[in-house]
Amino acid sequence: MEALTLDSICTKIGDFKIEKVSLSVKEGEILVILGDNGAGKTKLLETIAGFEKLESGKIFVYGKEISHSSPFERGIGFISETLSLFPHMNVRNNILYGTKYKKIKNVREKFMELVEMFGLESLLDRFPKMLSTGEKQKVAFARALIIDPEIILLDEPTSAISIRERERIDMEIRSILKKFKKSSIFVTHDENEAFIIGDKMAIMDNGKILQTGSAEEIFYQPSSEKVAAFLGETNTFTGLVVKRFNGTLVIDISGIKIMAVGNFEMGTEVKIFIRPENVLLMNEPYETSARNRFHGRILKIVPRGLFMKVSIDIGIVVVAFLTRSTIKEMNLKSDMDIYIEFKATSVHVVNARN
Amino acid sequence: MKARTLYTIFFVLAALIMIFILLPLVRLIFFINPKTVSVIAERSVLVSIWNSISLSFLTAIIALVFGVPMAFLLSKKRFGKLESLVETIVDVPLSIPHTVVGIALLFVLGRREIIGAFFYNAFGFQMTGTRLAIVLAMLFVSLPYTIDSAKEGFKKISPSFEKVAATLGASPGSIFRTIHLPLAKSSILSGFLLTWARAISEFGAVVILAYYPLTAPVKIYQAFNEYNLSTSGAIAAYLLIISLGIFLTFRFVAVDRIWKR
Repeated sequence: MEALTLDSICTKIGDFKIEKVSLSVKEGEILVILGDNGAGKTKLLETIAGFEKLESGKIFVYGKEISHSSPFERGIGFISETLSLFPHMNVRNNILYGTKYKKIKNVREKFMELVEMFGLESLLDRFPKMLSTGEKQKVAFARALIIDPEIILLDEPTSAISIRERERIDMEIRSILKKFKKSSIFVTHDENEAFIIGDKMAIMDNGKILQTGSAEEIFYQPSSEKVAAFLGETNTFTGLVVKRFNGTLVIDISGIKIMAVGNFEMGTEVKIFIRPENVLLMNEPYETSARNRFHGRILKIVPRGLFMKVSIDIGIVVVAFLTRSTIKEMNLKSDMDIYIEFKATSVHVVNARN
Repeated sequence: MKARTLYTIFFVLAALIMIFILLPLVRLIFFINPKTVSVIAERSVLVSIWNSISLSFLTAIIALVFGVPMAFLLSKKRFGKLESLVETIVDVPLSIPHTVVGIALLFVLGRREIIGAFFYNAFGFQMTGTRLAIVLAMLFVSLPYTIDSAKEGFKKISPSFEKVAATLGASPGSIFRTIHLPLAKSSILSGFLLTWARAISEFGAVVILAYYPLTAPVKIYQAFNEYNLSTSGAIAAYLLIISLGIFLTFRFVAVDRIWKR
């Protein structure tokens, strides 16, 4: 059952436009919207929550149209970037705020259950300014959950948390949303966070949704260079289909011929994407099943997060991610001769005109 | 210029300001002594001080009731394209000489003028020379303080609070009552006190619309004209002490203990 459906919604906010966004969230599903700052993610959430007027399109919650309802009648919970705890109310009154306006059965029991679950017993009489960010977050969740909204919208609620802690908090958020079986939309600009939290992902840029799908689909089969760029560094090349046989393509990129799987006409200009972690390095040209194998020279090796990024010149520059221990074992150095390989199925091909 | 030199010059200038404000007031307080007690005991003086305090308080209450909603509209830019025009109009009373205000009000409140005539025909009383006229004169010149202060208070409230409150099911009315008013209360209260203080001190507009019933500033002016400097000085000193007493009490007891929690 679809909990939330956006049917081609358009909104205009100042000069900014949200254009024909269609999305759906199944019951209990977490949809992550990934996009840069200014992509319109927050604007989209605010439109769904009812703070911005729809120009056209429709919004449904469990099949009931709410396109023009007031925010307070929509039954959509909202957790903002700043968490927005009411500064003049203590934790208890913050959590209970919504229960004054929405009829809730067994308020006391629900309150106690949430307080216990989030471990807020000792903080009930404190005011927000005396809470840590983590504590504030728990209060914000308890406050949203107590009135049992049908959908919860989360607008970068972890942006104030250090990256080191974020992963743990993200796991917690996911387990809370799953425990309460809350259908939700989680907005972020952090692709790692998107992978941890989301069941499904949508990439947003400049007021439009570029691609929707599972994390794997978007990661390995981006529909465009823009989408690929959201998911960290990747190898992107433009070339021409010069041969096709049995579902296999040969793509010419400045003289280098790469084999891929796909269905494109001869002479089509295509973009190809190869994830750096799918590029393997070998000191000797062993026989393997991989259909793309090249001889090249290491240009440079630089650290990149947990991995080392190795750039190899095979006529075009290909990037591979390796662990530090692999680099040590293989004794890799700049200017060294090397063989690289990747499977034809690791090459994702899209029409360059998309 | 070195930081030290700069700050020394600025501190000297600041000290001059402090002296400029405090010296005349402290000098005035010397009029409060056993010899002048008889002045304050006079009924007309007491009545004039009472008139000033009570009518200015009433003015501040009226300003609150009318000004806060307007301040809210302004803070939310609800006047659209007319926003800056409306904002300017609200502040116009601050820039008009108060005697001009008095004359202008006289031309609508007078017995033959538009509002004055209506009141005369409907209720059979003349507005000029009444407490009502005093309150209107005070209101005209002091209303901007309530509106401006409350407006700034509302503007400081992050819009995310009302958004979250709405998603928690609160209607706009409930949000105003439970979020906006409590969060802007110290600004609203300080606007209230400024309005009250401004209203107590009003002379120019009041004296034109209602010489009687006497308010303290008018009484002081009358004593200055008809008696001698020491009598008017004594009344002025008592008014100073009483108004200061009220404001300091409000400021420190009410604002700090109850409102600023």
